[in-house]
Amino acid sequence: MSAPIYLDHAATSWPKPAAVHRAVFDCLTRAGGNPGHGSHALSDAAAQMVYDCRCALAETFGASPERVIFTSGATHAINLALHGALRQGDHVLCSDMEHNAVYRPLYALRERGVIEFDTILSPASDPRAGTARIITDAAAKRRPNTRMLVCSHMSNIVSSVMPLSALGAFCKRHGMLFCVDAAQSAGHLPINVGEMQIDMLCIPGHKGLYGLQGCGALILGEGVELTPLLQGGNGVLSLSGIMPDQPPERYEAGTLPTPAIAGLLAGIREVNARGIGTIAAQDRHLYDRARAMLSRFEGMRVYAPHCRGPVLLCSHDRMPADALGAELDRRGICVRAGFHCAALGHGTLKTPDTGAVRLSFGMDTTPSDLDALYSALKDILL
Amino acid sequence: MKTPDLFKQQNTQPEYGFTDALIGSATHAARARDALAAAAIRAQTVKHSTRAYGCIYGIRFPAAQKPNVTYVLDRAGIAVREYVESTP
Repeated sequence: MSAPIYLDHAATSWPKPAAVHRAVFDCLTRAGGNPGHGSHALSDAAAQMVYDCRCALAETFGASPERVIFTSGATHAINLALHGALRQGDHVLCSDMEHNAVYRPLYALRERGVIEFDTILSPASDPRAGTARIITDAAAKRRPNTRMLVCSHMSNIVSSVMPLSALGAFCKRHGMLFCVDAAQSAGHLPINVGEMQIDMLCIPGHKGLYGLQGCGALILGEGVELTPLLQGGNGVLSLSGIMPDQPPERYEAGTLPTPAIAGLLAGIREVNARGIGTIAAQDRHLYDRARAMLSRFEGMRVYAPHCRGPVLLCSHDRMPADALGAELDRRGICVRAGFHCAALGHGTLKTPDTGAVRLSFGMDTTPSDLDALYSALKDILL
Repeated sequence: MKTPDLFKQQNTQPEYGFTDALIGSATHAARARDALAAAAIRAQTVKHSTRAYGCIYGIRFPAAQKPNVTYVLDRAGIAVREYVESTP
């Protein structure tokens, strides 16, 4: 059986680079201790590897190593950011394309009467929504008690990208916190916490950075303090009943997923060696090829086609998304059909009641992968 | 991966002629070690267990370097909770 053609990188990247496999194996064999907890060589090696990964993330995203907080993934990071920063009576702005990782915590906080929130324009909802229109919309919806703007850098269903630098400046001008969900953009687009004035950057390890599932990070800008989401042991100041007062350990309770962090470190190095700018250009090239190919099928609709990047959403007017996804799977092609945990985004784009099909690319996706997809679609639809 | 042996623990008797700066977590101790390395001061991370702090990480360096270490760490914004001299 030939290897599947994998076009579901927005869910998780696959296959992982060989260097990631090796790093995880090396970690399990040579650095299998508990980092920052023990007093022996295996613990020391694990602590060093964890620190190296903090440094690599800090360098990649323009932050300080001690402000890189490891989490179980982007969703955990977003929950720590939102629950740790928001207070009774706060108002929040988010985009109209948020993933449920942002939407559901906001919804829960609103249901409990803690906050209120409103949505602002994104490039996906309005092709004319350039930076100026988005900032104007945010300014119109801002209230005196608006404390935070949170948005996905890139949507998880179309390649719609929010203007982070302008939004960061807007937030600073109005004394607001700026939280960015980079679940889809980390490893695909340049991000710099300092230059973009981001207060909280939430990233997964297992998507565009090619680490394992089970590890992500919250990267804090300078001066940002949160209420910890979890309390527990972390090997530091262990006779005290309260968490340490400094990040990252203030927000890290329990044992870190050391093998996943080892994989993430190797993945980041692979991505940086390839070059994020190079990956972004390749994403756009693949998008254009896929869009042109899909346009040859009558009844096929591509959503927000002006947003070019690693994520493409489409639907067919005679075939439900799940059926199309299943037919592609039978032909060895992995895509994601349905609603993609994106209640707001699917509402904004007015996708069919049966959802849509998402294609998403990774750094090793090739034009021939898309050619195979085209052949399969011809077989299914014609 | 950086050389793991830079992470050394204090498990037995203190080494004389050295000073330990108690800082906090393994992360902050590693950051201090790297800041000193950039200033050509060799240090290694250590772990102490004391009633005052519980488990705490820090850095060990030659005692004679204390003025330089204090200057470098202060410039790097790394707070030292306590200096522990290990003289006979």
